[in-house]
Amino acid sequence: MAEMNDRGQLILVAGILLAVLFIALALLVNAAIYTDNVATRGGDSAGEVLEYQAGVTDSIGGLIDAENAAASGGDNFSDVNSSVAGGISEIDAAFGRNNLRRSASTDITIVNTTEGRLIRERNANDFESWEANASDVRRFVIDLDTDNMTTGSPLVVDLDGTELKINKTGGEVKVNETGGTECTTNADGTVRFDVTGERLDGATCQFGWPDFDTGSTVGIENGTYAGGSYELTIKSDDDPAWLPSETTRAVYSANIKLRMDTPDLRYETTVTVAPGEPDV
Amino acid sequence: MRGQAHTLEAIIAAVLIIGGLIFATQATAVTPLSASTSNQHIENQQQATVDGLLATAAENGTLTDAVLYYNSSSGTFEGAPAGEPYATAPPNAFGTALNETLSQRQIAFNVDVYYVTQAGDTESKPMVRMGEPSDNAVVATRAVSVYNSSNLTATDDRQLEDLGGEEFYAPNVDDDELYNVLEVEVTVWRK
Repeated sequence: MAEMNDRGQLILVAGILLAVLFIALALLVNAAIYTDNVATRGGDSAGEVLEYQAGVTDSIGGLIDAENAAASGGDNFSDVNSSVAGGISEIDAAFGRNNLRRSASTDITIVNTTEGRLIRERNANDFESWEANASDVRRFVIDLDTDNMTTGSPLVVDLDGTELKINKTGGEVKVNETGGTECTTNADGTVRFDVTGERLDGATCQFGWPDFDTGSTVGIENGTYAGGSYELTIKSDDDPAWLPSETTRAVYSANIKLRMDTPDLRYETTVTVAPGEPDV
Repeated sequence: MRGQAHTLEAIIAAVLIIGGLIFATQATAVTPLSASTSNQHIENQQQATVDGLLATAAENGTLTDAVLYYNSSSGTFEGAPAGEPYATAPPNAFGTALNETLSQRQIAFNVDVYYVTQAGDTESKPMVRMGEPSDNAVVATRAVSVYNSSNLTATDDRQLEDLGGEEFYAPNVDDDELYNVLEVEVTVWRK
């Protein structure tokens, strides 16, 4: 019987030993998981900053285009510019408050803005022909009314020497770069030619956007052969009197200084906001 | 007698071992590889997914269309019950994106639109309400601005500047072309 009592104690001790072993194992695994959890928490602290920067540039880009479109022919550059500045300070205040909820402080300041011209014609039976000095061009979009295009006679878009002939032949709209790319689409209703985006009716039309610089020009020749609407913003201080009648003084671009302080990092950068400017 | 003692001994030993095992597995309910709702990797993945979703929607314009998908006469987003937010994804392109990336993976979400008030405070208009987020919910935000010339995108397609004072949830806060700065906040969590 003495032997039996010893065995009981042995089982008890072994059981306790096993229990302690399992608890140790559980603690060890838990510690590993907790370390992993903490180490991977909030992994992308730059994401918040990038989201902020994208939101600000989109908002200011939209603001510049909205203020330019709302300007009238008699407005000076300073009128449009002060409207843009007023909007930017509202945007700054709104972003500041929204980010404060996430314990981040932000600031937007205007470094400078560049003068430009918004050239457009809307629902014209035939376009005007013109040429302007432009050291940069952004968001150049033509909506061609195919019923108002003269068959066989091309409208010419001159981008600092790169001539794009836009022609209607055999039920098709053709965009032809002299000695280069040719793109076609069906001549049906309104056809959109996004010149800066190099797209004809949604499909790519890579004619090779030229480099613009001081002394470059942009223009439309043989405007009378096509109708519809178009719009472009150029970096220029030409007198609007020489350009199509709807031309207004506009803000071409704005250099904006952004700052964001979060508990994780401090970020400061200067961005140029010029919506629809081609990447060259 | 001896045989009985041995049997008893074996049973006690088995109970101890099984008890210990159960205790150990209970204590480590979440292993690094288990797909639990509270797993940090899942939170990180959800954060990346919803950040990407918002960035894409902002880039292709569907986010702006969604905040302007509003019915001024019923005072709600178009198609939502009167005075209430949607209970599921909104019936527009942004809603389709939410459905395809989140709903189909059993991820619930709330969408709120924060706007600036005339007094300079911030208030929110709920767009989608699926319930109370869990402790492991993640939040992503994206700001979009609307302008006087922005059009409503629902059956009513007037420009914001043509609307009366109470016809849109956000007021006009600028003297010029800016209308309001909205912030879309998406809260997601595993159902």
